[in-house]
Amino acid sequence: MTFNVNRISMLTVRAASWYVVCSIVLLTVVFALAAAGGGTDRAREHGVRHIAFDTTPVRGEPRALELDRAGFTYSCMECHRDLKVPADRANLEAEHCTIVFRHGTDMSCQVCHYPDNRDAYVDRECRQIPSTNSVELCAKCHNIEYRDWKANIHGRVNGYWDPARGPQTRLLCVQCHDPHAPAFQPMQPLPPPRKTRTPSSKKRPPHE
Amino acid sequence: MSNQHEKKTRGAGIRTLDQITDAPLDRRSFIKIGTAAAAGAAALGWALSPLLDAEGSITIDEFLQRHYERLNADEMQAILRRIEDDISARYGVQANLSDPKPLPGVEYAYALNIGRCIGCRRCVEACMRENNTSRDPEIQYIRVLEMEKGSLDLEKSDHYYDPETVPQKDTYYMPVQCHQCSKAPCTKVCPVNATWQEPDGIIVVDYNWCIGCRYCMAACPYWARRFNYTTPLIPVGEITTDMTYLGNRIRPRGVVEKCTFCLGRVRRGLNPACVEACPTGSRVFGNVLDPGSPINYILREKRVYILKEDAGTIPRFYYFFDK
Repeated sequence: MTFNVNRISMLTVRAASWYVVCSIVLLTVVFALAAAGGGTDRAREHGVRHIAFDTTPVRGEPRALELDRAGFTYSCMECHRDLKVPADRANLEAEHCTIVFRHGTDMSCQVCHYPDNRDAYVDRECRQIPSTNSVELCAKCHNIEYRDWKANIHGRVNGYWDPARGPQTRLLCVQCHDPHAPAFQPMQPLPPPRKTRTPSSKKRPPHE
Repeated sequence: MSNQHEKKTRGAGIRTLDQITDAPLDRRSFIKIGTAAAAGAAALGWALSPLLDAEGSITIDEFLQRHYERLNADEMQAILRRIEDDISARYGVQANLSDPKPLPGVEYAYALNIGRCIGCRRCVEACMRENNTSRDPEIQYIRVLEMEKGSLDLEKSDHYYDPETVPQKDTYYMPVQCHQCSKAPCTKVCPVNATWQEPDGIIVVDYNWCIGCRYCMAACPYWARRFNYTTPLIPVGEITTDMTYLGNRIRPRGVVEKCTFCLGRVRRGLNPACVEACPTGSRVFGNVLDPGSPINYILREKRVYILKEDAGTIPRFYYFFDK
């Protein structure tokens, strides 16, 4: 009886020590893998970092009212001098098929485009706004945004914090917003911060 | 005689000092003692070897440096050149270190449009680059919090959100960084006066004076201060060489650092790096003493939210809403 008890306890002790050894080995492996994983590529390449300093506007430089078709650029009136605007919008969309329209409700082309001169916009009093002055067109409805933009708090401003101290780069509405679908497009964020507060690997690479 | 004597003493198990020193050293014990001594010396050497690493050690000049407020211009120049040399030795880049002073009649303030932030973390990257923060381990001054829509509960926020999941439904993004408080708790708790508020409102740290006690980190309600647990690791190609003494110079190990509104940039008139980087224009920076500045416009015209206003720290950082 005593012999059995001793034998069992011996076995238990031996098994327990194996568990301890195994778990230590397992933990080591886990930590080693975690460290290796943290140290490998996190898309921290120069290209990705570079994005943060890119001051080009989301939609590039503003363009005049033009249509690109088959390698040629047309001004609106080249077609619309003769083509009258069809009554139903289905036809319109068949022609200007690249335009995705998500702007307000109950909008038609002539809310913004001047009916007789398609190279211009239309203001609230049915007068023409030259196509170079798109901000005035947007201000027709978005007056709060226009007011904020004029005060330099809507839209990206680069350069000096005080225009009296140095030049500022300001953007037009259309450099961030597509006039036909003006919601600001989401961007892929950069990677999240690392959770470790110590170096991800013991072997720190020499400064490149 | 001696053999008999030794046998006798061995049997007794106790030897006097004279007996030990008198006893001739046989080959076996010589090797034993020698090996043990060599191993001991090697272990001691290995244990002390980090001290040979000149990086962490302090030079006489550094040790005798006086507090920032007491330095005259010549001393400051000598310190700047010394730090430039140190950076060039450690990182192999020629830094252009300066100590720009606050501009007269300027007090900075910062406003952030919560409704516009898309959580793209461009500001974080620009900040790391401009301020020469360590890349491994990673030190970032700005935390972009993913918040539940309709709530300002910071406990439920997440700043580790996966880029793939953005934009997520019913969330908004709230970047948090140093609020440059008018009544900054971090400067009050510093036992050595290594951090203080400049006349233009920027809270700075003298990294040569900081003892690394991290009281300020505990005192800050905005989690805005970071500690250099190791010597910062920065790829040479990413080091910003225009450095300032109180701002973006590469920090030594064991000191606290923080956002300084890009002190070196803003005192030259430029926007902070985070403002420059923001693609949405959510970030607005300016002089609050100038009635025509955009900051003043926001404080007058917009709904402004102050994070943890109840902490009574009177921040210079405001969140605002469009509608």
